[in-house]
Formats: sequence, C-alpha cells, structure tokens
Amino acid sequence: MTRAETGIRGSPPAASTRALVEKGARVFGFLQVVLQARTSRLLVLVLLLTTGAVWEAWKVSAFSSDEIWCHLRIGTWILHNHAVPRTGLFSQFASSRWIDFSWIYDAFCGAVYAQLGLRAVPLLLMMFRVALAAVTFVVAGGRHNFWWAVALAALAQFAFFNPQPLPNLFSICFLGLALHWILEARRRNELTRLLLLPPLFWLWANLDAQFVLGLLLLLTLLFAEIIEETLRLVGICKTDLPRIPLAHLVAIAAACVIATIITPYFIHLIPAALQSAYGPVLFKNFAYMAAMSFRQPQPFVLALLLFSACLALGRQHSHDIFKIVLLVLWAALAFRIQRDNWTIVLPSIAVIGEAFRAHSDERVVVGYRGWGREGLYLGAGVALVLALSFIFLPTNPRLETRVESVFPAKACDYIRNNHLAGPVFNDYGWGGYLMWRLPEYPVSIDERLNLYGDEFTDAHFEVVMGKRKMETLPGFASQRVILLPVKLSMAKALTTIPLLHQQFREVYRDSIAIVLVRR
Amino acid sequence: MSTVQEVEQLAHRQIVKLGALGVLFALFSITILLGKGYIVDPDIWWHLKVGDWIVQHQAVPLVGILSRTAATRPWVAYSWGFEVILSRLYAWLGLMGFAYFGVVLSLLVSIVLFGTCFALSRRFWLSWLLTLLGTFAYVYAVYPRPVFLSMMLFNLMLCLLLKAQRSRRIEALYCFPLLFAIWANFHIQFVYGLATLGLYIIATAAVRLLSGLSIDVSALRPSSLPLSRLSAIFAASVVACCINPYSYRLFIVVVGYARATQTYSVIQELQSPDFNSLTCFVFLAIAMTAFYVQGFRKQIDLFQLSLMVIGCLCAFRTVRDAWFAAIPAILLLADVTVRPTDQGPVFTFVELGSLASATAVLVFLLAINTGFTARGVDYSVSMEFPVDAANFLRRIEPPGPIYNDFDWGGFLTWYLPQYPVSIDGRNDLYGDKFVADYVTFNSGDRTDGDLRLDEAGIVLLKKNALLAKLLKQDPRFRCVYEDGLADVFLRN
Repeated sequence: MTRAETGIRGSPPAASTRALVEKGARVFGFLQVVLQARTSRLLVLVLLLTTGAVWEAWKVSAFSSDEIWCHLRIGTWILHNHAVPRTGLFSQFASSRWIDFSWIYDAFCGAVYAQLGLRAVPLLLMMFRVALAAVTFVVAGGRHNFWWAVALAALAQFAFFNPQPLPNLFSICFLGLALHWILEARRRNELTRLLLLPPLFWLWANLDAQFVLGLLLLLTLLFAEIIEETLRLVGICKTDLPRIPLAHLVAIAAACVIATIITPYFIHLIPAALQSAYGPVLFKNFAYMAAMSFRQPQPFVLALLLFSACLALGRQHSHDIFKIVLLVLWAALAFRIQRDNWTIVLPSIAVIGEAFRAHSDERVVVGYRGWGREGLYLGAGVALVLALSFIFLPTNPRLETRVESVFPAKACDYIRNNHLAGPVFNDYGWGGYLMWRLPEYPVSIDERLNLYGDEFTDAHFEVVMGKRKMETLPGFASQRVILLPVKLSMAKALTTIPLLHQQFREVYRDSIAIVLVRR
Repeated sequence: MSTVQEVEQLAHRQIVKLGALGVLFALFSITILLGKGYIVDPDIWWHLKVGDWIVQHQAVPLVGILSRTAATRPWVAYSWGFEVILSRLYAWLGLMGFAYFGVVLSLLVSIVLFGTCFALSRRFWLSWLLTLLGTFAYVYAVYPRPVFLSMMLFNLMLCLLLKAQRSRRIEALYCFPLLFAIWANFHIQFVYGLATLGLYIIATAAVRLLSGLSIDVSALRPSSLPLSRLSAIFAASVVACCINPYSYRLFIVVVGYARATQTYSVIQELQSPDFNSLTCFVFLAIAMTAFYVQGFRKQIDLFQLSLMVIGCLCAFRTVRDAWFAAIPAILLLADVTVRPTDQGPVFTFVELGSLASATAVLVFLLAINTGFTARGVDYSVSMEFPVDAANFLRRIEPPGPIYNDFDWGGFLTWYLPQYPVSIDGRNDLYGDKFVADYVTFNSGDRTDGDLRLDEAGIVLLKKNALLAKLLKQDPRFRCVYEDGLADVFLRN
C-alpha cells in the first residue's frame, strides 16, 4: 500500500529531523551495548531482586497484619514441644480440632525469632520479597528474555500490593514455579521438569492452605490437554507437534495429589484447606474477599498486564487452550477475590514473556549458557544488600514501640498487671496479637477459621457489627473481660447505651483499645 | 446432506433470523420487566420532578431546586431534555408511562447495538451473539436513565467512525456536530464521545508522525481520513456541545465530576464492579476477547487499542461506565472484513413490522404475569420507597425540615415536595465532600454536631440503618412511625 493510498501525505523528513533521528539511533546503539554487557545485567538483576527488600527495611511494613503473631506463638510452641499442634492452642476452644496448614513455616518463624527477636519479622518479609522477585523474573522469561523479564518482574512486584510475611507468599512463589515448569515442559516437550512438581506440592501442602490453587492449576492443565486431544481426534486441531502423553500428565497430577496428603493431618487437609481459604464466612465478612476496588494504581497495572497477555496471545496467533483457559480462569478468580489478585499476574507475565521470547533476537542470549560464576556474583550481591539492609533495620526496642502504636500492648499490660479474671472477649483482628502478648489468657477468636468454624465466626462478626445480641454468642455470658478497638461500633455501644452500660464497666482506655469488665 | 449442512441452511433462512431477533428482544424485555429497574432507580424520581419543574416554569433551573441544604447553590440540569420527556410521559400515562419509557429505552440500547454490529459485520449471527453478550455486559449494570442515551449515541458515533475509516469517506462524519448538539442536551457523558473523537485524531496523527520520521509502523493500521477535516469536525462538535441552555457551563460540571474522589467510595454505582453477578464476568470475557482479536489482526489499530485500554480503566474504576469499554470491545469484534456472501439479510419493512408486533404481543403476555400493570408498578414503588411513611407525614403534617436517607431523597422530591430534601442523588449539586460525609454520618458513627440533623424536625430513615437504631436511644427524637421499610422520628 502506497502513501497515497493510505492517505498519508506527509513530505519526506527534513534534514534536521533526519539528523535528530540519526543521533537518536547512535544513542540507542550505545545504550544497547551497555545494556548487553554482563556487568550491567548483573547489577540490574541485583537491583530487581533487592529493591523490595530494601524498601521493607526502610518502611518496615511487616507488622501491618495481625496474623504474624499467631505464627510466631505457634512456632515457638512447636519448637518447645517438638510436636505439631492438633487442637486449638491458646484459644478458649482448646479441645477442638485444629489443622495448622503452615506448621513448617511457623516452626521456622519461631526459630528465627528466637535468634533475632522482633527484627526477625521484617527480615522474613525481606527474604520473601527477594524470592518473589526471583520467581517473577524466571516466570517472565528469565535470562532468555532478560530486559523484558526484568520489566515484567518489576511490574509484578508493584502489582503484589503490600505483601506481609505470611505463608500465602509461599503460594505465590510455588504457583509461579509450578507454572514455569509446566510451560517449559510443554515448550520443550520433556517430562523432566514436571517430575519436580510432586516434591513441590508436598512442601506446599505443609506450608499454606492455598496449595489448593496448585491443584487447580493441574486441573486446568489436564482439562486443556483433554480438550486438545479431543479436538485432534475429531480432526478440528491438525497439529502434529510432539506432545507429552496425557497418561504421563495424569500420573504426575495424581502424584501431586498424593504428595499433598503426606502431611501430619493426612486426608483432612484438603477439605479443611478449602474451608479455610474459600469458606462462605470469608466472603460474607472479609473485605479482602471482595472484588478489587480500583482506587489504587496496583489493580490497574494488574488489569493492563492481563490485557497485554491477551494481546500477546493474539499477536502469536496462538490457539493454545492451556494458556487461554489459564488466563480466563485465573482472571475470573483474581477479579472476584482481591486477596487472590496475584493469581493472574503470574500467567500474564508468563504469556507476555513467551511472546517477547518468540520475537526476541537470539543473539541476546548468546554466551549465556549457565549461571556459573555469574550466579555466584549475583548471590553474593543479593546477600550483601540484604545484610546491609538488615543492619539498618530498627532495633528491637524501636520495633516494639512501633508495634505498640498499632496493637493494644498497653491494654494487654493493664489486664496482666491487674490480674483481671478471664476469660477475655476480643476482636477478631487482635486474636493473633493477644495469643502472642497474653498467652495466659486464651483468646475468644482469632484468624484460625478451621478451629472456630463458620457458624461461630459468623456469629462473632454479627455481634461486633451490632446485628445480633451479644448474649446469643456461645460463651459470651461467661466472658468477664472485653478488649476491643476503641473505634469499634460495639465499643461505642457498650459505653454509651444505658442498658449495656449497666452490665459492663470501663476500666481502661487509650487511643487504641478499651477494656471493660463485667459488673 | 449432513446435519451441519442442514443447520447451516436453517440458519440462513430469513424466518429463523427474524425469530431469533424476536427471542433476543423478548428475552431482554422480560429481564428488564423482572428486574423492575425502571422503577427501583432512586434517581429517576428527581429527574421526573425536575422535568415537571421545567415544564411548569418554562425555564431550566439554575440553582438547587427541591433541596433544603443546597437550595441556593448553583446547579445545572444537564439532562433537561430527558427530564422533560419523562415528565410528559408521566403526565400523559401515569406511572405506566414511566415504566414503558424505561423498558423501551433499555430495548433501544440493545437494538442500536445490534444495528451497529450488523452495519459493521454484515453477519447476522455474529451480531446476534454480540448483542446478547453486550446487553448483559453493560445494559443491566445501571437502571434506565439518561446514560442510556449516551450509550446509544456513543454506539452510533463509534460505528460511523469505524465505517468512515474502513470506507475512507469522511463525509459520514459530517453529522457529528448535530449528534453532539443533541447529546449535550440529554446527558453529560457526551464528553466521552468528544474524548473518543479526540483520541482518534491523536492516534491518526501519531501514526503519521512516526511514519514521517521513517520509523517502522508496519504493525500499525494507518487511517486514511484527512486530519484537517477531522479536526474541523472535532472543533464544530465542541461548539455544538455548547448549544444548550447552559452553554459552556456543562464543561464546568464535567470538571467537577472529574475532581470528585470521595463519592466514588460511597455511592454504589460509582464503585468498581463487584464481580458478584454474571454480567461482570461477561464484560471481562468480552474485553479479554477484544484484546486477543486486536492482537490477532495483521495490523493493530492504535485508536481501537487505546480506546479499549482507556475504556477498560474507566469501566473498572466505576461500574456505571462499563458501557464505555464494552461498546468499543463489541464493535471491535464486529469490525470484521465483509465477505461478498455477507451482504444480507436486509429485512423488509413488513418483516420488521411483523417482528415488532409479534415481540410486542409476546412481551405483553409475559408482562401482565410479571406485575407490569398499573397496580403492580404501584406495589413495586411502595415496596422500594417509603410510600406509607410519606403518607403518614402528609397526614399529620409535622413541622420540618426533613432529614432523609440518601437513597430516598429523589423519591421524596417527587412524592413529598412540601418538605425540601436534605440530600438526593444530585452529587454535582451537593458536592463531593458533602455526599461522602452524609453517607458516613448515616452509618451511625456519630449523631451530634451535624447541622443537617440538628436542624431537622423530621427524620426519615431506612428501617435497618445504624443511625435509626441510635436515634431510638436519643432523647432528642421520638420514633412516631415504623413499618417494614422506614422509621420516622420527630424532634421532641
């Protein structure tokens, strides 16, 4: 098509414009040389892997969640007792059955805490952030697709909004690894990498309840393979490319499922994990189970990643059913539940990375046969930055002060110092912290959903939100101390409504918490 | 003959296509009737009342009429055309006229969508499917109101733009100033249309600039429409948007909306899609497919891609704008190469008349069984709005002023006009902070220090509102009326 045909009537570029373009090309060429140098790549990679960790060392956001305290307390208990918990430790439901999905992580937390004190918590998050950066880099194409992988990994880091040092970060890392191995195995048509999946699933099942997402990934793979096989049989899909036999995939998937049963909790794990991660009570009462609110830049980045992945699949003229189903299914999950929005980040960057890899210049990877010495330099660089960041972390007393500004430390001290007779009724969001700070007072509720059950948890939220009378909550009548956030509606009701005020007496109040005792 | 061939032959028969269209529009009608969106929209009532006011005064309002708290604040009734139509329909046909209008408006959106899809693709079944998906993706995300006119006009505008690009004939776009002149008198979101036209010009200019700099743009689809004439059309369209009773001040309202932040957190329709219903997932699937198809094409259309990205970002920010992403996505999917065999079908007027009649009869038969009667509509209104509580107040006529629930303000402007409301759905009148504070206040966090409540002689709240529960303990008020829907408090 000529310019006249397309209606483009621009005159040839002027001499000054041409000079500008040539100058730009020279600068671009120089940049290309610099960027292809191994030293530049190593530095960029160190920067990518450690930026999140350095940010954490500076900001110390690891204490934003209450859940870490529960893991620390249980971990300490595991190390002390050399056993895996099976009942509701530190809870008023001490005799009820409880499954600790993350017992290995808890023990690890307990061990690190025993060595480093509170500084262990931000350190754990720093290590997680390095792992996340590494996994996203690998998923996005790694050194085969270096600069695009770096850019995509950086975007992915940004999209993982406010990570906390909790076991769900293992799920992000492990899902990324599983996805990477599956895609690599499909691309190279070799089974070897898939043999890594069963051990991965074993470890995953002992670390986080969201290992069920890994099982969903396997189901997606099998579903796509079966559809492709069927289409080939009926003649719609005419590709003769060699493929991994379906029977082998089924065997590996079965091995993965079996691996998830090899835990201290045996077959009880999967149903409990489903209840704990996707139970109806969660959808009813927790904001993080609602859809993303698109009031921060992160969800927009996530949506753009997804759409870029769709565009990239289209550019490749791809009919890969696995990738298509993967994007559709995980997009539905990510857009429905904001807690799981990371589930679409990994497939998206994997698909975009593959598209760039298909179009990338192979010369870029010439000479990049293995990590070797570069891997050593990389590891040393990351370790050095981590060590420096750790040194600059606030001291334990300072961290303690920070924690006291968020959690009811002084209220707990008041309860302990005045020997208030329990049991204590506490807010859901503080259960973990109370387990940590006041272990001698068993909590009325905390985040261990599979311990308390849907019915009790739901009733607790209804009471706290004023939708249900307090007396109807099982066990409430026996609770003598009430510890609540000062801004909670229930706290206001207890201190202002005359009928309730007659039953409870306020004994302590600060800017965070209020303590009432039954008259 | 194989089964596939038989099905193909059947699908090409005119009667089958007419039947399919009938089923499609009957399905939409029933969905609208069952949803009762035409009557449960809290904002439709103040539109009606403002329409009455305009007809009565033969002028458009310049300040916050019908309101107590914002009576002297400047206000622009940017949907005045819609409001006058609504008012006349109510005057002629009562609540049923109102309901007919809602149903017809919703159906028209789907009909225009089908028409534009078919105009671009000339493929009946593709258009049928896209209309089905598109309607579920965005029409039911909001209640029938002036934004439906924006949906139709935007759809039409984009179709004309894509057809002009394809045929390389800019003459089809000369009607844009007229289209924008009409649009600006019906709804404020005419700015989306202007922005789209502006985006087209920018995308066209960008491709030409890159091409002029000898940069390889072979992956981008060039536009052949002359930039100078496009710019002239754009300028004329901007001028045409000022041909309304408020002239350039409509743009000031747009700036006000653009600056709002807090209302986007508290007003439900301004929030992000909740992905609790199928429509959100249909929308997401359409958007993903559109991006895939855009990538699949030999050359990427920079304009379409940019519009899709911007539209999706707007739609995810606020569910009300789902149409701004869904319509470009659907038209992109419909914008396929027309094959010589795809020239039909062009229905005759007799066929279309028969289709309309048959569909109308079918809908009528179904409607009378879904409460779509004068009595049924009355009942629906009284189930949704505090009709009995308002009747109680009419009867005892206590001294005002009134403090009302946010969702009921619009209804009260119409049903209880003797008490100007403390708030209603006109966010642009009350302002971002006022609305956000008001909704937060109603959540029961505090009950004193708020002038709107401190001044109030009457408080009309939803039965389960936390503020209502707190007021029952408040010595300043006594509860004088309660039913299954509302609580009425009078000052002691």
